[in-house]
Amino acid sequence: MSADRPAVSRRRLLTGGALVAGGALAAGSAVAAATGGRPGTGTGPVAHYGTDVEPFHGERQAGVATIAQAYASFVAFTLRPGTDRETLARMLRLLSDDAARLTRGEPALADTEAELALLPARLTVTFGFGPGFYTAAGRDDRRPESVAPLPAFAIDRLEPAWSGGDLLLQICADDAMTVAHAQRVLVKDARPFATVRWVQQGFRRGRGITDPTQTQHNLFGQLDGTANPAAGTPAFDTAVWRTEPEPWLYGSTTLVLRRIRMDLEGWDLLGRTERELVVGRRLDTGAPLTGTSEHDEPDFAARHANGLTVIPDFAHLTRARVGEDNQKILRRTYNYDAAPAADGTADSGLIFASYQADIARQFLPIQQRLAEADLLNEWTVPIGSAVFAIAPGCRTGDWIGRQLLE
Amino acid sequence: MSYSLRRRRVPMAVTAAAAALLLGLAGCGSPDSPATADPSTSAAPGTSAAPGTEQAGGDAASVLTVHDPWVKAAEGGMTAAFGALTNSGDVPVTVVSASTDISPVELHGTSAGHDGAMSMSQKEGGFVIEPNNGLALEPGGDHLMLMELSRPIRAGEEIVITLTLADGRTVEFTAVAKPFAGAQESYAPSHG
Amino acid sequence: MTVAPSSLPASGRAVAGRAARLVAAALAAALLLVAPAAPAWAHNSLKSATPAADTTLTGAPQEVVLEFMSSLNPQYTTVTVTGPDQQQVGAAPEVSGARATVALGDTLANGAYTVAYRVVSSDGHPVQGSYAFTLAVPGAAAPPATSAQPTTAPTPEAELTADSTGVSGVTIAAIVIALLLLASAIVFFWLRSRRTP
Repeated sequence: MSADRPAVSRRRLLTGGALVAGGALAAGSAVAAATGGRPGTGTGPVAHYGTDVEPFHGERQAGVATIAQAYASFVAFTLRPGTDRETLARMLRLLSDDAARLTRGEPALADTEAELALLPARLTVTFGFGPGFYTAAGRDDRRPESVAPLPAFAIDRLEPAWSGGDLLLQICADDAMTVAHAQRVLVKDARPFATVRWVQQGFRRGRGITDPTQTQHNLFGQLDGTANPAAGTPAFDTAVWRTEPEPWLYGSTTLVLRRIRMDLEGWDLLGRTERELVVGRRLDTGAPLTGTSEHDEPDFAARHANGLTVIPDFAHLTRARVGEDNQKILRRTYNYDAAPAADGTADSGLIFASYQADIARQFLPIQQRLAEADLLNEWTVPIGSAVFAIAPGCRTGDWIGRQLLE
Repeated sequence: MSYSLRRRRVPMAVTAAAAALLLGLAGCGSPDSPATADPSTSAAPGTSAAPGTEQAGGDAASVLTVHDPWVKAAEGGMTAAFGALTNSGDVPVTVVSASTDISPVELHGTSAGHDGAMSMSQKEGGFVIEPNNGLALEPGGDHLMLMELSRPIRAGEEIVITLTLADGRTVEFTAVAKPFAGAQESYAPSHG
Repeated sequence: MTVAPSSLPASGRAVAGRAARLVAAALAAALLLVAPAAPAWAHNSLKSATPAADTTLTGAPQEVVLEFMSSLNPQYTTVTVTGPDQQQVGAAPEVSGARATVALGDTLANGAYTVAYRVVSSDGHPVQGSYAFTLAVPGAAAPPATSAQPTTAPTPEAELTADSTGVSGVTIAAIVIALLLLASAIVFFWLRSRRTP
């Protein structure tokens, strides 16, 4: 350390939330201490996977366009009775400050496990507001109309335990320890204001296991997300980000979070070809049945010699298809895999997270078509449903939700 | 609460060094702003001056800065405030007392009692911070003890705390209230 | 002198052992295949069709009627009728119970027609198949007229693609073979036991 910097003892750094030197410098030296190796030696970890940072501040919140990290925890809260606008402001300032520090790889203020904060691993903390949040804030007039419980679908078997919520914290990172620590800090700081309603934890492939731009499989073994708009494209922006000029809307989006239980026992009984008929795509490549590679445009008019369409009318692909960019949704799904029952029956499925600028224009028509007819429904059941507005981003020194509350 | 300042003539070199250090310590380039909701930077006493500029009240803050201050939220009774104190000057700085609107404040730390046992008690001689060094006020270590809250401090709220140095200068900062279960030390019998 | 199986020459014992294992496997397979009410095997299949497969009609049919083993789900019932020019004819199927009816238009050209169906069994499994018939109405450029055949059970598996499923003729054949093997084995051992002097 240079002569004009104060000598900071490691003990000072590690025993409390008070950082004396610049965060990154301290974190760097502490990373070396914590991970037991020096970056670049070849015997240590792939250091930058742990230290990579997804910026917290910006016009839009992180965690939506961000390349999906390996682990996610969606934590929904119920606000305590009597929570008003001033109280919500206090809560959001605390939680925003926690998120800003942790995503930088710094301990939060009053962090009782400061060491666990030093490897951010692309941590993102994304804030969502449910209908009850707007009511508590006295801002029902600012709530987008479709940020409300979805209409009931015939396929739903929704459980209150997995549904609803006034506040959502979506915590994602490439490391499960990082997620666990961030969740602990945020839950503790939310405790005076709200109770935990549900927590849905999920996973995808670990970082470095597959090409991050490649579509991943779900637990049915199918490639899931082929038709997603690609981040950084105009199609993505059109589908996801709101552009109304009001400061509490500009740069925001909406989230529909549905817990989809997979009937893996029933799925087992389908042959491979049957599965491909149900979905409309090959299992190995993700190609539509009329194509050879994953991103081939499906030809719904193509027929076999005997007259049947190659892609069945009832296939998931057919029923979910949309043409226009402004009708597409962004699916950023995570798999869940809870403990099987004593007889081995799986308790697994999808944490289906769908982001779109307008739920009524984009999500509902697709969901209605799927609910009316989609053979995949035979093996999936929605058991949870929650809707949130994803607030605009905030600048350095600011906090999430200020534009809504002030 | 009013505070008094006495200007001192400060050599230009020290001023420049202090300015550079302050800019570095402010971290991430975010400007010090005393009255906003951002608890992560120190506050220049009573002004929104850019860090390092010399003006009324600039002296004390340019020597002693407070980073990442926070206070434990509490319904009443006693609570504690923490943060990182940095002395960027070339002489030791002693914090002799502290004050807030809502409670008398004592400087506490661990010290050996008359029987040699370590316990938390008022720190004789205040907080001494050596030149170019820091002092962390943290749970289990030195801290500011708010002895009798006149009202609750709610989570997310901010309170203003003023430190008084041995030479009478003061440094003011804003601490955000955090939910915190720990920091329940037992105290020496005289404070029981 | 009693000849116990264990005193048979080694080759005889090997043959007997192999046969016994074969019988056991065949029996198990047969039982499994005919086990009632197991959902995995409740695949729908075509029971009858009008016009029937491989028939030649001298009068244009008004409709195609497919009768299945089990009730159909209207959401997941597809029936196509493809004419000699490879174009689809007829309306979307109307579903009632286990029957799907496709109303055909008035003007049907002579030639080969393919009826194809894709339905979903009660357990959700897709089932598909197809068959052909010929239209040869006199007075048009058509093959010579023959009498219309009565409705018979078609053999839908004749034109199945590899991805068809269901309790197919292959499965029925397997059951028959298994029972034959069982019968043969029983006869074999009975004959052997009678050889004791």
